[in-house]
Amino acid sequence: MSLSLALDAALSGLITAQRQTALTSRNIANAATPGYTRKDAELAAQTLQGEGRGVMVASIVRKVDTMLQQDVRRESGLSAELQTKADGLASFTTAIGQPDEERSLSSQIAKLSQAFQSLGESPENAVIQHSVVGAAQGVARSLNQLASAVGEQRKAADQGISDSVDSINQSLDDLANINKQLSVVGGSGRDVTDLLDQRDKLLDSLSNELGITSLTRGDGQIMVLTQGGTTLLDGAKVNHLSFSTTTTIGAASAYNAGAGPLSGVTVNGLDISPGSGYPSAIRSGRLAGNFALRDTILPQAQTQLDEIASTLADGFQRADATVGAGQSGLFTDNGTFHDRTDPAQVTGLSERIAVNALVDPDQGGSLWRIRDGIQAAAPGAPGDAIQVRAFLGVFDEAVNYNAGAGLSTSARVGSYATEFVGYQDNQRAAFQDRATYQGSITNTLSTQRINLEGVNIDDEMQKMLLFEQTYNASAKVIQAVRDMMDKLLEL
Amino acid sequence: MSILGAMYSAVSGLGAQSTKLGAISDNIANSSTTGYKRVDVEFSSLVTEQVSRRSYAAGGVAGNVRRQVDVQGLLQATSSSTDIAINGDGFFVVSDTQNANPQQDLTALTRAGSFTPDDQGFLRNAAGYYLMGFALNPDGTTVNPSPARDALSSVEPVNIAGINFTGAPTTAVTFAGNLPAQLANGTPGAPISTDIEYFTELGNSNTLTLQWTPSSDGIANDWNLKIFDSGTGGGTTAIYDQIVSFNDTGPDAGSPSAIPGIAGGQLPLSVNGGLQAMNLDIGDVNDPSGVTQFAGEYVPTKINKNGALFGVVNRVEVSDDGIITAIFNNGVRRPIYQIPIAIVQNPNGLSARDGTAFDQSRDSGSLYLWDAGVGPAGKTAGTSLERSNVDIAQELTSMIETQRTYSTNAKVIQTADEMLSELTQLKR
Repeated sequence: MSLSLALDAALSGLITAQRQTALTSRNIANAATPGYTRKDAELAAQTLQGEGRGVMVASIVRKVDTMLQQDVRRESGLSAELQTKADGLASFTTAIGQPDEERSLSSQIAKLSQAFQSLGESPENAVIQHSVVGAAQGVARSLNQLASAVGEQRKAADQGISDSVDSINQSLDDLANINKQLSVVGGSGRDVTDLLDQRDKLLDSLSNELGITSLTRGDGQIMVLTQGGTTLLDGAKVNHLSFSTTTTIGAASAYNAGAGPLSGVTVNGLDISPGSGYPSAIRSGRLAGNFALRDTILPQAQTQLDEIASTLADGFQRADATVGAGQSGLFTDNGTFHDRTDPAQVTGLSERIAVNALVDPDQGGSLWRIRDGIQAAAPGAPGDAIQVRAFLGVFDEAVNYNAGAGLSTSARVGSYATEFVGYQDNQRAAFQDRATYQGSITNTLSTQRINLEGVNIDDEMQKMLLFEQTYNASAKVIQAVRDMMDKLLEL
Repeated sequence: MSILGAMYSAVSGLGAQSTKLGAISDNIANSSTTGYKRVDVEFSSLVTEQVSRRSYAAGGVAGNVRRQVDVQGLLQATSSSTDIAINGDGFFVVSDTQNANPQQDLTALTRAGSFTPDDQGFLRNAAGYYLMGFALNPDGTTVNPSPARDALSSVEPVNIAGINFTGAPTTAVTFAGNLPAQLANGTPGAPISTDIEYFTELGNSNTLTLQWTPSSDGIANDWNLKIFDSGTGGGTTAIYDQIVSFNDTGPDAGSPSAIPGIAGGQLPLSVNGGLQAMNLDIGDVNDPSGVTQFAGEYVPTKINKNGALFGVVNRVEVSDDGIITAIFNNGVRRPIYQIPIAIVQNPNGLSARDGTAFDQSRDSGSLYLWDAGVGPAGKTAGTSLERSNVDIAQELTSMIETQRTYSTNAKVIQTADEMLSELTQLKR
């Protein structure tokens, strides 16, 4: 029987070498595939009834470090969050411009102040009066544009949340599908390594969207929870995230833990958005970044703009001797009087602020009101600059600001505007710095992971040589057995 | 007359050698038949009583045909999960019919395990025999609590199409995690919750919600644990609502100091409208491996449960103890049949029949059905087949030997003939 045994063993050697070569070729072909991990065949001697019968592939394994994977996922989630914040602010700060730029809000306010200065020197000059009105309109327009930029950015963040939620739900569905397949093929000795690769890839992309924890259960299936412990996937059951986008987001649109018009992210009715008051809310990932942009960072910019608008409207109302109670000054709240003591009127003023139609010749107003007071009944003496000097006082007056805006609580309006522009730019730079730093941590870990899990072509080529030798040797054995049989038949 | 005796002896030699050649040709023909057992011809001498020491009366030779049933063939791996080989002694019980408890003459024993399901789901081998086994309950016990082992009255044909659906209710859930100690400072706080899916006896998917709220009883490190069940009152009323306290000092700091209602580390729950009993393991009192409370974030670290959703059979597998397991598409594995291994006293005494099978005979002795791998019975090996135990090299060598012996016998006849003709020529 020994010849048959030799044939059998040699055949098992051939088959094993073939499988190993196939595996190596799979590794080499996927060397550059993202998320592919190196597969190795573990060999075992085949024994039947205690006798050696050749060799077999016991299992196909992949080398992964689950702790490292979790580190990479946690860090890449933080990285994605910071990058989202930095990117969101970058678009906004582009709209704001630098403090010394012509189009920036602080330059516009400085221009208005200069125009009043010139008017103080020649109050009768209609050309200068016109330039004052133009500068005032420039300030109002700049405030309007910035307010709408804030709204657009918040809208973009809102859309970003919705995109993240869609992608998370899709990933969860795919993971549920993989869980199902694993439960069927798992434990049967079949090769599940590619399924596991796919699963890791999905978990990676999921952790970019929000911070997750994944728990592997006894049967090989995974359970996905948010870092805060909210169940997203349990075996084949997916708890989808729900979110609805808001079509227009204005200054008054707030999230307020679900009480405002803006939507939060809910799972089975439980609101897990940051700011919902849920103690274990969403942390990190693009989702957290967009929530911060929509509900904290950009609303703060909105408050700062509203404070500037409110200070201007209120200052010009108070400085104008002709303006009575309930009457509007140079700047109006969309045509009406502005009450700075009423927080509801302050909110969103930067969206509505406009130059009073009474001074705008295009809207039937008269330029002389700039000199004599907005609500003056008739033109005064052409050389009278008393009111103009009072108007100039608005720029020199230190005003108290809402501490919630995060800037100085008492400052002149011009420097407050400069502070606003600088603050936003600094904030963006700070987020960008942190994102770059976090990105480098993520990169270091990812590189480590690729080195551990990825395919090294040199190694594979060296293994290939070995398999070729094994294959040739096994074939040689078969040839020898054939020669021996031939000898027997020749007898 | 010794010459004639020698001639007859040589004729018996011719007969014996041709018998052997016949056996060799059968062996070679079946050298790749699954489960085939080689036939050997052993010779024994026939002796004529010697009347005198001065002359020799030739006797001759008789061939005894013996089948080497007890010699195992090589096992070879296949890719079909219903190919079964026996690694060790014993036989599969097979039948000609698909009826349970078949008549004795319709059953046979075989080691040819190339079984595949037929159109009705019966496992049949290449020769068409039905594989017989004991039907099993889902818990692995035989349906017949004491199946007959010394007769074939309890076996029935293995049918893998009969078992289609399954759902397993969840009876045990394990939860471990950390509760943020900084939130439980004796003042009321917002609840934190985690959902765990469980399965009802009908295979429905329900949700168990574990909700932890810093207790408002004014005592630090007390948590109000409420458990909601989507199958009980729509999940609005808690099925468990108690204060779980945690140790704040000593070696057990951070582990629970009191869990009302816990027994033996398990929290008994009645879920699904009170229809289903379930044990929730959140760790015992003073046990740091379950729920703990340390300063930090809320992190579930382990969630495990049993049970499965409704599912259909995906495939079957055979384990080495002869259990055929159905694997459902929901991941459930359920034993469906046990294949007994028949052992007879003298396997070489079995009489062969068509289809690489054997019948019991007077020489074989009576059979006994063992569990695979128990006692003298071999283990079953799935995705394997037993090859024929014929070794071509051995057969070729025997053939050469047979041919030479045959020609020598013929030479004896020729010599005897020549001697006789010599004799007849004495008289002219």
